[in-house]
Amino acid sequence: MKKISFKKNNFLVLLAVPVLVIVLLNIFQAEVRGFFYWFSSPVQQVFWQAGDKTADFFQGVFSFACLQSRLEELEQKNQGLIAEIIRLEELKKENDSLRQALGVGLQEEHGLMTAKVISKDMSDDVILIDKGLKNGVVQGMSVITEQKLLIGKVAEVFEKYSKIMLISHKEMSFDVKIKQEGKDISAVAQGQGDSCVDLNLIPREQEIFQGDIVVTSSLGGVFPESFLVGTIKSFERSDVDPFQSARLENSFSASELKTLFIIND
Amino acid sequence: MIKKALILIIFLYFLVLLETSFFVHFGFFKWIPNTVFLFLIIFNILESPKKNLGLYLAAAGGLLTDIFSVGFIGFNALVFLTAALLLKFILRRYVRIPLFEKP
Repeated sequence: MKKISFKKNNFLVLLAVPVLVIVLLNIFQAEVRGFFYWFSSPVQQVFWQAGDKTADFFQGVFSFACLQSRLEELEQKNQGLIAEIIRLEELKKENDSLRQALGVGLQEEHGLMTAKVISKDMSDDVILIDKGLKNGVVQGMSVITEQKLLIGKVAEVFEKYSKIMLISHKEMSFDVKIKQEGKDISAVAQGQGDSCVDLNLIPREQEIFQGDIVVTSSLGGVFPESFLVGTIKSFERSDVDPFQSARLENSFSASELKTLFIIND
Repeated sequence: MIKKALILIIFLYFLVLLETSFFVHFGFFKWIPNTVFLFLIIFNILESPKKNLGLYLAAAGGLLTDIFSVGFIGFNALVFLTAALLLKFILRRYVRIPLFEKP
């Protein structure tokens, strides 16, 4: 009888200890994760840079065969871009003079803070950066690249690190505008996971095209206005649905990100 | 046994770091294999069905994966442990030929 109760007690202790550990780990998860990130970030930064360089090397080796056709394609694109640059230079001059007149620079306009990518979550579209509470990072801040390309928003903040939910994360939803000559079409971008973003609630009567540029809209209050989200890759229009949907060509790959900017206002 | 377990846990820790910072650059059609899980499965198959080190390692590997992921800490630990337990159960009950056991 004593043996049975001892066995029973032993089993209860064996069950209670892991449950208690897991409960405690979840209660103090910010501290636990923060400690592990602090402890591992030097190694992770080395791994990230090594991975980036190795991937670049292999990409170069594997894409060698199609380099010729790619070169021709890029040359054609380059010619188009030269014409575009000339047009944009005129606009830049105009923009610079307006900025000068107002006394506002790009840095001051948004209040940017630089951050480096350390790692990417295995299962979700989430990345870890080396800026946290100590640097003034707050949950919900928008994250962009140097080219004003929208990356995502701060989802979780630790003392020295933060987790960024990418725009392709399944929980991400925000208002966007499809830029067309003379008009903007409102839509809602919805992350689909695996670096995919879909556009929903595009009015059926509006005509959209492959390659249309999509930028953020400040309508929902999730992101500031006019950051590049991507271009339309494909779209679907049904006679039954009042709205059409589209898939975005994501302009960035999470594994290629290095330096990011956090908008701190 | 404890020394071996500690060495393997350190190895798992580095595997998690590699998974989150190095292997993410080499997706095969956006798919990246979960090397930690793969290692644990292989370890549990190769280990003698009578030994339990694979089970402890599954829990530890799951916890490490949880710490470097988002969401509830313990989810991956539970998944990895369940997989390891299932594997042990199958190996103990249905596999009679000691393929990987030392004589």
